[in-house]
Amino acid sequence: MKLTRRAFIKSNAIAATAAAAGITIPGIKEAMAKSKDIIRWDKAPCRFCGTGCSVLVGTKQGRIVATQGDPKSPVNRGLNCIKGYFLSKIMYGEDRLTTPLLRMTNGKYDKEGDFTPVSWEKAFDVMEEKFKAALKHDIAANKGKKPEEIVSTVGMFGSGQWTVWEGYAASKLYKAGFRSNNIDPNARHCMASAVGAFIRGFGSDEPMGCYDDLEHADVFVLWGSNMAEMHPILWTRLTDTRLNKKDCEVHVLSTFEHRCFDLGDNNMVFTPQTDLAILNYIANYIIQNKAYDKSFTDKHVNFTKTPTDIGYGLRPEHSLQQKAKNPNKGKLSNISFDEYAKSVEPYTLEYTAELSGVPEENLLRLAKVYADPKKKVTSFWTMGFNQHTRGVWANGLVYNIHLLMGKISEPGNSPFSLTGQPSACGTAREVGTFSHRLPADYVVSKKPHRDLAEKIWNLPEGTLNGKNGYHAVLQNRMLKDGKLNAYWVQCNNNVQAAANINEEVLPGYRNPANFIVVSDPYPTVTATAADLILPTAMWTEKEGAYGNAERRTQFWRQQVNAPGESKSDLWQIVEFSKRFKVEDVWPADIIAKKPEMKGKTLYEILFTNGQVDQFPKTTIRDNEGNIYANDEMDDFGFYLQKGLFEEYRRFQYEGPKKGHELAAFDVYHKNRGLRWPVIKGKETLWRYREGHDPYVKTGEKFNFYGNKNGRANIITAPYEPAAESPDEEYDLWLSTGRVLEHWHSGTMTRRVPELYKAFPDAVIYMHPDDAKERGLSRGLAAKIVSRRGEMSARIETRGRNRVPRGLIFVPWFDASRLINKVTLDATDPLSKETDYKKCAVKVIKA
Amino acid sequence: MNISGVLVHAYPEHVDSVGQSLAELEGVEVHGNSNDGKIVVTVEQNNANHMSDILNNMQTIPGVLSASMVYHQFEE
Repeated sequence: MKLTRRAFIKSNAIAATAAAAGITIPGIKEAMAKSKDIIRWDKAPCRFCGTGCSVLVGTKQGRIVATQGDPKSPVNRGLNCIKGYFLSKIMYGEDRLTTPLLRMTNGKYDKEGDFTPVSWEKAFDVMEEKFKAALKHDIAANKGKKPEEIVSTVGMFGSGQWTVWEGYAASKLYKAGFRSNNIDPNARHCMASAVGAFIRGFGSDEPMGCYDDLEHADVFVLWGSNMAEMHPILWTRLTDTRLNKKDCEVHVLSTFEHRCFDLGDNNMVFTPQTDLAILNYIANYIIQNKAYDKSFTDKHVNFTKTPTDIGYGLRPEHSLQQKAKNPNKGKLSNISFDEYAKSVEPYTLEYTAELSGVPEENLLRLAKVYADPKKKVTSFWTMGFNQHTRGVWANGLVYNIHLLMGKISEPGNSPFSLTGQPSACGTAREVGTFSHRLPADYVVSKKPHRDLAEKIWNLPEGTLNGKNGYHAVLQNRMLKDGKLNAYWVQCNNNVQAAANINEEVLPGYRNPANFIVVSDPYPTVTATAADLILPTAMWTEKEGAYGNAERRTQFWRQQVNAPGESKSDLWQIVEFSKRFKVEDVWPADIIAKKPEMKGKTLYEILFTNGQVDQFPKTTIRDNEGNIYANDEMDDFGFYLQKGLFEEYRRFQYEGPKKGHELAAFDVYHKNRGLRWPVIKGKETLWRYREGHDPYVKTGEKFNFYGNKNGRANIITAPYEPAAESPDEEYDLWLSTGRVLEHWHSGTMTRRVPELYKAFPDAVIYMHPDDAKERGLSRGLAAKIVSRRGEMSARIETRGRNRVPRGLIFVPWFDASRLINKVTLDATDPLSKETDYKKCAVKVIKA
Repeated sequence: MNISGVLVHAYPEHVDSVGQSLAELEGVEVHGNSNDGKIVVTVEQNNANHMSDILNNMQTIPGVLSASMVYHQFEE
């Protein structure tokens, strides 16, 4: 039988789907065998969220024509969510940028000019001039200053979507080359609170558990996480466990009802910010009922408290900051167990139910599952906890509960912080592209850590800047204030993503004192607010590596060529470094310590340093003998990605901190990723636990070795109100977030026609009674107004998100309806992460 | 030509009714199911916009827990 092309494709679709379902469908395999496939298949982690699904990418004649869930992936086991399914199309949007665009008037750069196509040469010429002017100013301003006092007027806003080596190269160029710590990733908006709590609690970033907990747990508790829509593949695994395991329960907490509530056994809608009280109530319940695991807490836990009344991360002159007793303070002090018990005593069932609006019986049922020593509990959270003016506290309070019960670091007992971006962990956190970090959990403010980096990077002693740089929100404020002047944005859309756009974002981009460069594949809101746009290769147009939420590092090969003159972020960073000599960036006294560096370029110092360029050009082949391109290798003449990765690994092996070890570069091209620490070729599923983590010695049972004394910190913190709550005039809570079909600001997903059609415009999810009271109803246009700005959209009173009275929910993916004109730039004073979930607004007829 | 393979997960007791509802959607064929409620479905659509409606409609059928994409191919 001769198969038609159509029938052949269809049988492929059936065969793959049947395999993922674990069934066989007669006749299908034979059909496949009879046709000769002309598609080349190769693995790549998905470009979207932090789950880290592996996708098989099908390429034909230099173009991606098909994708399928990777059946060999331990993460997604052959499945993809809707977004993953359309991955093959995100690179082929009609408005893909293919040439650098510079604002010009009469052939010359002009901040008020129109975007005009220019060559890379011209683009870098102008960029070089602007950066050199800023750096010259910095050298003069920092003359005679100690490393701890250095300030810089150059900066960069990067990404949890950067590949591992892109983040590493950017960080190295800024921190080592430009002596600027003003580099921060958009992960600041999404993961910083989680990081803060990991470091405070355990002295080491990232979860102790892994996705295997999804099959081991008896109870799942979702705190501020809409997994069904945001992490659908993890949700399918959770659903399987819920349906197949006897007595398995799902508890869902949120400020509005969403799709997870369909499966939930104990659904709770709470008043915004009162999650802090609910968390403390559970701890109080455990203590009052003497359910805690005393032998665990005696051996493995310190009890501590954190300063309270710490403000809201606003500008220092803001009245809320002025009122705070201990603004930005976070130093822990030790307390006794009894003091801890007393601190949670006010959180009785009655008080907590009253404050949170959650019925007593639901709260009690929740507390009981945590307190039951026989039930294995996995807690999941995402932005509900992290985008919170007390986000570090909230993350810490859930660890308190798990630590009290000893329900941690073992299969099924797992407090688990999920991530939103594909490499928030692998790049932003592990490489340390934050304004205060260095690779592998080292920080710029500690001299021994800088010494280690200077040793590995072969820099003159004292080169590295020891003062924390500007974090994401502060970067926007400093741009506006004219203190940050040469600024490069890569792989994110921060003008759409940052809060309070009109007052705190756009003024900085359009400040005449500043030069703003944006690298992106598409003309995003941010790109069009810039002065220079650089066309950028994306996803499988380059070789890459991502690290997902369960510490799994995954690699991919370049599958296709980028369109036009697009170049990867990595190429852009490394190529730009050729434009600077050490004399342009370092003072004479630093250069004098290594006179052999005189006259050299940053390219020579940072990238052809004998380490990064140690692996020669080679032909990249898979097991079947297929050959793949590597454009950066062609351009620079050596295996740049491998050299960067191997240099980066030295941070994991040569410093005092252990437990971050990755395997060698070549290993990851052959497997579906490994979860670090990788010791003697073996990955680690549960950290800190004897029998799973090789750093825990026999007989220790647990060792939280990120902290010097091997103990984890229980950190007590009270309920404190939100920065802005509804009042008479602004009478509604506003929460923002995502929807299933779109990922983040919609830069990629809104270019896929199917996804755009599925959810074209942002809407205002509102309770029907709240709508009626305002003379509104479903489908009518309305205006959301806050103290900062306004936005129009249609009212939605039905559908997947069902909000309670007094709260509206608005997705933020829509570039034509910028909800962040309305939001408040209040942040967690400890993590500096913005609270996008709470501010006060009113809704009126448009 | 857009062809996709979709795995629909339904409550096992609703598999038959979900299967019938799925088959009524334009371009959708049901090819089989497992005992624990997993249904193998293909969607064939030349109009990309219809595809999104169908995917959305699948998830709103009573008894459906999730719909995951397994395979997608498009050719001119």
